[in-house]
Amino acid sequence: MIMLTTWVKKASQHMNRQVDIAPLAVLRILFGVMMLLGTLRFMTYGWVNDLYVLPKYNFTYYGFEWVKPFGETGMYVVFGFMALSSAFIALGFMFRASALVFFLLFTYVELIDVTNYLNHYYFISLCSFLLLLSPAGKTFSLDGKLFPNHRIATVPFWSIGMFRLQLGILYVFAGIAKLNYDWLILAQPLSIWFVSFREVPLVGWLFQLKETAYVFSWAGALYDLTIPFFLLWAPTRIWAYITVVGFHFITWLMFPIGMFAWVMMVFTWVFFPIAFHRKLIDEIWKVLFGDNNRLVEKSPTSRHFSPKASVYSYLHSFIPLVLVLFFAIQFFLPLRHFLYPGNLFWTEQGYRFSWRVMLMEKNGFAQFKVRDPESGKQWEIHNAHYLTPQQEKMMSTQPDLLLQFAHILDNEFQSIGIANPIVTADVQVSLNGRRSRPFINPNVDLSSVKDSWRPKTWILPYSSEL
Amino acid sequence: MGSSACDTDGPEEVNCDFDLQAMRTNYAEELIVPKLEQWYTSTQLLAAMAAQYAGAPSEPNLVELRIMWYASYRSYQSVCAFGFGPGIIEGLAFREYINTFPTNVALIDGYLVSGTVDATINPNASVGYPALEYLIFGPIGSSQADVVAAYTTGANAANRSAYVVSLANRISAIAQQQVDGWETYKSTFINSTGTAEGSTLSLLVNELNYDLEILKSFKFKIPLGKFNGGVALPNQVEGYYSGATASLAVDQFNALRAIYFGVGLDNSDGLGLHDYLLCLKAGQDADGLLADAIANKFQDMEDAMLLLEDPMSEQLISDKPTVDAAYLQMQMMTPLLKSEMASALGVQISYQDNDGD
Repeated sequence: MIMLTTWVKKASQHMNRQVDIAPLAVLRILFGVMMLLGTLRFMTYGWVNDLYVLPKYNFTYYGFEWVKPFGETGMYVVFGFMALSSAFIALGFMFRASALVFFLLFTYVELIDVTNYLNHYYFISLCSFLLLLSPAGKTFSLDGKLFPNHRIATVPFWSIGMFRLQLGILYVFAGIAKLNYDWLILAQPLSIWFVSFREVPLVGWLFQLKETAYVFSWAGALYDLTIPFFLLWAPTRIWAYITVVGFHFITWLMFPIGMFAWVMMVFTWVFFPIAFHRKLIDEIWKVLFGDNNRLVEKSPTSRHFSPKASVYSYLHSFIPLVLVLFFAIQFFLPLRHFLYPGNLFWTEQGYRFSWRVMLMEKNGFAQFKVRDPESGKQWEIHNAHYLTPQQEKMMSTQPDLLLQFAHILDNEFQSIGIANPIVTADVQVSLNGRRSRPFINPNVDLSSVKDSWRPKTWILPYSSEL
Repeated sequence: MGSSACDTDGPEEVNCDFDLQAMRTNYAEELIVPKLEQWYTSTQLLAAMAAQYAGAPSEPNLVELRIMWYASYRSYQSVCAFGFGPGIIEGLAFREYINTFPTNVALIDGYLVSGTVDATINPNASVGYPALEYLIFGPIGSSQADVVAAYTTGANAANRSAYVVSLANRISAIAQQQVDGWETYKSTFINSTGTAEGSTLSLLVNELNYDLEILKSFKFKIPLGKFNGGVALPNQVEGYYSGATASLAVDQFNALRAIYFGVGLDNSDGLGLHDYLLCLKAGQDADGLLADAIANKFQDMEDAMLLLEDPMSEQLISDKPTVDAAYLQMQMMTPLLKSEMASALGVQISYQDNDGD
């Protein structure tokens, strides 16, 4: 017991020890710049329109059914402010407010439609939340110039360590997720995806070998499981970072993962020594402003991060509790699938928010049918009449989305005067190169099924090894 | 089918040496270009017959025009899947200008009165083979003499003749555009590697699926009343006025199957998607390979479609289960081509970034 208390005390001291603020400033600038680029890219590609204006219906998250898009002008305003807040984060201007605005807008946009879910968007939401809690705007920032009294030189170590933990969670859970039969024993879905690279000049022949998919599968799992530790440990750090760059660059070349690869390449700088960040900032400073030193606190010992007595400091006292909860939830979410029966990849109960990235090639075909029990009339549904191609693709393989679509149809048919529509669906799903098979019970009236966190008994069992 | 240099090792072995360049060459040189050329030739004859009939409306000339219309429409069924490359005209697949059905009779009748008989500017629902069909077969129940009379003594006879010529010329002009376009596009098509959106393999797989969708949805699902509470809509079929519905559907089916197997216009059996799937040993399970399942399903489709009768608009009423059975086979084919084949060949319909989940 005494041992434990000592340990907790030591850990607490370690977490609260004051260190140079430089890494937070670097991270803040990198985050702001990446998000600004990402937001502008998203807008110029026309995705605001494709994903948030065009869809007639949205698939909502459980408990967030009230989140709705704002319409064309509204969505562009949202993205405009997202870009602006990213720029402000980079500049360190009204930092807390900007970080809060960014976090809220970004998360709002992600909550609009489940079919747009990507793990890396989830990651950005989490990171912006952490950034919001950190004092990253208090040096090398416009705020620092405008309010010199608020400048600080050191911060408690946890405000940097929490980003390392966040990245560690992402990698390790992504690695654990790869420890499954398909990935390790069948080298799927990489075997299927590598079919695409058979004609790449010089290396195409490699992708015609089954062995290549095995090498990538096993190396990928090993990379995810170990890279945070190699980045933490000084003797291996430089080699680990070279691996990070190589790994993410290769995945960026091979798959349409957008900015994620580049985000990871720069966010992993948070594992670099604090002195590296200090040197970086000082060098940039010299280039920008010569030896003039009005923004950066040169004598770091003088001013620590110690909020004055205010509402603000009151809020601050909750941060440790918030962080403990925040990370506890993140440990629980990837494991919650153990609470559900059946094969996780098949049922996808407890699949999202778990860093399961690139684990499945899953394709489905869903024929919905609506029957009016009074007249006996039956309609077959043309999904594309209601959904965008992206929505239809996602909906066809995910049970909760199939259920949501059934309810959309239920409402639609009620609105044209069918009092009690019976909505059923024939769904055929193919997983990781296997032949497709029936996915849900085609006789269940989905319009009478309510979504919940309970196991979905109408998903047909996946009778195969996995 | 086809000769492919595949490993014949154990079932779990997916290493396979397949010449994709040769497959694309086969598609371009043996299927697409010859079929487009054949179609273009048929449209030239159609335009000539239309001009002959318009110049001298008579029953013999009408019969010749009808025969050529039918022959050309059948030829079109074997190229309607090639709506990419030169097949995109002003943002739309060329089939939109050629075969939008059911044709809008009210619009066409209005044009005959107003004299707005320029097929190059009229909306798609009033041009192409279906519009021409309405004009040369007339409303259901018209005799040949009735039709000819409309071109000689009927109201707006001159406009009617002019529109027939304009429609046929427009079809032929688009066919020519395809043939000409492929002269330069062919090398792009053959040399486009990979599976990304817009690559040749992606175009082939996507268009094959869309072709099946056209066959299934437009030619069967809608007339069967599947979107309509189950009430059959016989006047929604392709070839309503000529009664050639089932024959045209079978033609399209045969063309679709030929694309899958890589069978050329001259029946030469070259490298096709089927051979590639075989080589990859895609979708191996207890019952065999995905490629075999698709081949079997094509056979099921054919068996069911051979029971279709012209005019299918009548069969829809008299013998709906037979039409329904053909539709059901198409429905069962859909996951094979759309989910499984696309997956196995690495072809994705990817509109945004994704991280694979």
